[in-house]
Parts: sequence; structure tokens; C-alpha cells
Amino acid sequence: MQNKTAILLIGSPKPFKSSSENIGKLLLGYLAKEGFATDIEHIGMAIREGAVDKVIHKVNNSDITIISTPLFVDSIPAPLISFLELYQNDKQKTNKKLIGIVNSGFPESFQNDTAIEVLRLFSIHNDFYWAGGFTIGCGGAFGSMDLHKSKMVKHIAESFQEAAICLSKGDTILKEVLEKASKPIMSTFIYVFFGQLGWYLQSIKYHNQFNLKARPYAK
Amino acid sequence: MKVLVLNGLNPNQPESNRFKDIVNSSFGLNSSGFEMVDLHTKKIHKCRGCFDCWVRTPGECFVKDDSQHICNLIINCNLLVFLTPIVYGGYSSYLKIMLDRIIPLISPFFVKYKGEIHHKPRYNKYPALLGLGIQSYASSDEVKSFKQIIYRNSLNLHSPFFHAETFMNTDDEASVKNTMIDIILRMEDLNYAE
Ligand SMILES: Cc1cc2nc3c(=O)[nH]c(=O)nc-3n(C[C@H](O)[C@H](O)[C@H](O)COP(=O)(O)O)c2cc1C
Repeated sequence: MQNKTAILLIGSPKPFKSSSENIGKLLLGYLAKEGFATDIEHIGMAIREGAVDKVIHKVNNSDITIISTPLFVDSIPAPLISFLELYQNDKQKTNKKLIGIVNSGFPESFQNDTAIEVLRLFSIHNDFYWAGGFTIGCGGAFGSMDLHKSKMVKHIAESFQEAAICLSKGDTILKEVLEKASKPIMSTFIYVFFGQLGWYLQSIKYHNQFNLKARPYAK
Repeated sequence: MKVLVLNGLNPNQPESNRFKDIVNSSFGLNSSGFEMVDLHTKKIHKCRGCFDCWVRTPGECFVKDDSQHICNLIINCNLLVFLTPIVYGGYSSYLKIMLDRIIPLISPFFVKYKGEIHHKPRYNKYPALLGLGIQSYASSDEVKSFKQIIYRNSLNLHSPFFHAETFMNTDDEASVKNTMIDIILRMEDLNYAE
């Protein structure tokens, strides 16, 4: 019997080291352990290289498509919307599953709900089977760190492992499993404290530490 | 009242011009300072997600294109209107490519706002927000999602007021125009203008 296939589509515009790629690969890795043949595509690159049709073909032939993306202004980034606009439905497809993973800069995972809903509506309209959406806050905290070694995201790793088992059995992802991944990575206070410190430290590199509140368009 | 319409309609869709004309005539007649930006005619790069607009050139994107001028228009208007087809419950890529570039208008620093973490405002005042979404097929879930995104955007943009209205692309001109004029009058009544 042929291996089942899973493709990860990355919605972050960053070509490498994005939180979306890192977290998406974590789930993809667990699917590989369950025997899935896996593949990865960056949506921004596919658009730039005129390879959208190739990616659509791959999606239509994969048993599972995972879209992992950052939250941009309460929704998915523009290039990923372009991809959804260009997507050509293969009405013959049966039981092809779609999964969303959205990570945000804000700590509360529910802030990703609107973006997950866009992915779910895309899925339904195009005859995918919506297998579930993961919403993850504090995306800036894990970036490109090794997620297998990080205690901070242990609950996400466990959730993804359980999700991969559900999916390998042909099931949808259980609600409890999705909810486990949405639990806070760290306290809001710590995230906000280090986040703000981070902006300040980054600005020093450009001698902008006293200029962060600039209002170039004030009239 | 200064009104800025970001026209994110897809120029290749047949009904786009009709809706653009209706918005133009409804607002043109009812507000003094009215401007519509046809986003598909502008040079707007996709956001790189680098945050240089917060730390390297604070308040302005490092990548120079038409987005700087549009950000300037946004922060200096009273009513910001998103005109877009509803794409899976969200915005078109024509509108969203610009919206991904508006984060220089807010501060990188965090604040608790309505019980949630958001970014602090950078400016003293932000425009009210009106979403006008056009559906090519009826879906109540997509309408709900569109309205929710407008609401969430109003929180992040510190808008003093928000409203979302949806139409079918087959709706007749008179009824769309009536609805729009009604919204404009209601918004003017709220007296958030200068
Ligand atoms: C243009 C832009 C818009 C963003 N909008 C939001 C937002 O609305 N809410 C939020 O929580 N984070 C927002 N973020 C933060 C990103 O979601 C966050 O940094 C994420 O971890 C980036 O993931 P990536 O490394 O995969 O690109 C935004 C970031 C950018 C660059």
C-alpha cells in the first residue's frame, strides 16, 4: 500500500526561521513518525517563483494539508490570501483533510480564532474535510528554537503527537487535543516584559532607543 | 469628516466597478473630504514581517513604496472604509496587502485594552472603521467571520467606532445605495468627526 501523504504550507513571509515553519514542522515530524510521506512549501516563494499551480497540484494530491501561518492584522497574511484566491478546487477529491495552525504575537491564543475561521471556511468551500485548527499565542517566544528540547512548548508537542495519532487512524483531531495546544506558553506578564525589552534592545542597534514613539505622519 | 476608502475590490471581477461607483456616489454626495484609493493600481510590497517599522525606522516601513502615503492618509482621516469582496470570510489580497503594512501606525509596546493584550497607540487619534464586504455566494458563516474581523481590527487600530455591512454582488443599486447613505448618516450622527 502507498504511504499516506502530508504537505505543510508555510504562510509566513519570512523565508527561513519563522515561528510558522518551526511549529508546522513539529506536527509534520510526528506525522512522518506515523508513516506519512511529507513535503513542505513556502507560499510566498511559490508565488514569487510562479509555482502556485505546482503547489495546488500537490495539495490536491495530499491526504493532509497543513497550513501554518502567523496572524497578521487579525487574519492570514496577504500572500496566503492570494494563494487561497488562486486555488483551483479538484471536485473529485475525497476525504482530503485540511488543518490550520495560526501563531500570534499576542499572548492570548484566542486572538487567532478569526484567522482559523478563514482557513476553515476555505476548507469547507473547497470540499476539504476540516480536521481542526490549532491556535497558538506567544509566537515570538519560540521563533526558531528547538521545539523538541523546549519545556515551554511541551504541551504543544504532546498535542501534536496525539493529533498525528488521530490523523493516522483517519480520524479528525479531538477537541481536547486542539485545546491543549492553545494553553499559554508562559505568563502574560513575563511575555509582555521580555517582549517590550526585546523591542528596546533591538532599537539600540539603530540608535533609536529614544525615538520609538516617533509620529512621522502627525499633522 | 474626512473619509478614506481603501478599495480592495478585484478589478477582474465584473461587479467591482458597479460597487466602486455606488460607494463613490454615496460618499461623494454625503461627505466633504472624500478619497478613494484603488489599491490594485498602487505599488505595495508584501510585508516582510521584519518589524523594522518599529525599531529601525520607527513609525514608518523601511521598504519604500505607496504604502507610506496611504498610511499617512489613514492616520489623518476620520472614517476608514475597507471595500472588499468577502474571501472565505476575510478580506481580498488586494486589501490585505495594504493592511499588512499598517502596523507602523501603532506602537510596539503592549497595553491591556478591553481585557486583552494589544499594542499601544502611536498617535493621539485613530479613524473609525467601516467594513463593506461583497459576497459572490450567500454564506452566513462568512458574513459572521467578516464582521468579527472588522471588530477585531477596530480593537487593534484603536478605532473609536466600527461597523460592518455586507452585500450580495447581485444586490440592486438602489438598495445598496440606500443602505450606504443610511450608514453614513448614522456615523455622522455619532459625532466622532473633527
Ligand atoms: C504585519 C504584521 C501584523 C501582525 N498582526 C498581528 C495581530 O493582529 N495579532 C497578533 O497577535 N500578532 C500579530 N503579528 C505578530 C505575528 O503574528 C507574530 O510575530 C508571529 O509569531 C510571526 O510568525 P512568523 O515568524 O511565522 O512569521 C503581526 C505581525 C506582523 C509583521
